[in-house]
Amino acid sequence: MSLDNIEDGHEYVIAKLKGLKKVSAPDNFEYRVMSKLKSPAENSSGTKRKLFWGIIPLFIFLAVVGILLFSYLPVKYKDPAVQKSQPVINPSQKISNSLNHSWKDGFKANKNLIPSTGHSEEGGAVNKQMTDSGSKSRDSMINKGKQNSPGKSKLPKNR
Amino acid sequence: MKQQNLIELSDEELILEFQKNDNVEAFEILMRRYKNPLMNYVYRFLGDYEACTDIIQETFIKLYRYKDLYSSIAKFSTWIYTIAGNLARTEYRKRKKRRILSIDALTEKDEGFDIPDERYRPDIETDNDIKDEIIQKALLKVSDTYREAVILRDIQGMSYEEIAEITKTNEGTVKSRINRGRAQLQKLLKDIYKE
Repeated sequence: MSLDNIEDGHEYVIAKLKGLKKVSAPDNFEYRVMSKLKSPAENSSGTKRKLFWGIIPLFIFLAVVGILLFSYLPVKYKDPAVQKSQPVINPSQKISNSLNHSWKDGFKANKNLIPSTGHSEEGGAVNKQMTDSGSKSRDSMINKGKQNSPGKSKLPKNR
Repeated sequence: MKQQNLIELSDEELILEFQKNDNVEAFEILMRRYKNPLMNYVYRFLGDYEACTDIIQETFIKLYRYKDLYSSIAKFSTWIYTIAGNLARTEYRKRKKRRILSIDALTEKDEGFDIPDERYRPDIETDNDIKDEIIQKALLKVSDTYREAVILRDIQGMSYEEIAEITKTNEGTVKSRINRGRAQLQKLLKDIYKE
């Protein structure tokens, strides 16, 4: 057998490879494997791995449920057509309007603090009370005047 | 089942016993049967005894943990060789990357590098057979896909069908890989002997 010829060379290589010394495992190999399998560190890493792969589907499920909840969440419907029909306001006008509104709002809020002018219902009642008492005093004064006025009483009735 | 009876069982029967009854003794018998052939295969592929021991340990740990993944349709030997082969290939790729990175670092910083500890090399330690060392060195220079096929065929004595199953290729590819691997090795050995 020589290495120059292809066929012979192949035969030579095969013979050499078959003649290689067999490599064997160390003496304590089985003990090392078994102690590794029984070691708590190896077992805990295995359980951790199992736990990790067990959590992933749960996480995916929760994510899907969350997405569905968000997408089907009831929200107040706003008609886009209504929004479009609103008149376009000039920015300056808008500012004045907003100022007016704020003034009006302030006024409405403080309305109860302003003393009544008689326009309100409560004020009207008070006013009525006041006018009633006023008319009564006026009548009594007229009657007194009728009794005390000498000219009128001295005038002959049948003249 | 008794230890005496378990020894007489085939590999497939032992793994079934381990799967069904969780019989650790069956696992231990399988380990005793396969530790040396697997060591031989992985050592010839990687050329590092310590790394090889770790890989075979990892192989048996995987077998212990994922015993249920084995289906009785496949041959047990091809299944365990596939696990060991995958781990060996992963380790080989890691080492290749590391080597590239260390060479880059060396050219950049111009510093020395660690000399690998070769005390555990069995071929040097036990009989100091120079021929074995030469062949092993030449084998490591053969490209990894061809090397794997050549080891499984010429060192482990497997059939083309089994090799095809382990390497997940067809028989034609296996035959061509073996042929090319042998040719590479022949050329390398020729160059070495010329020197």
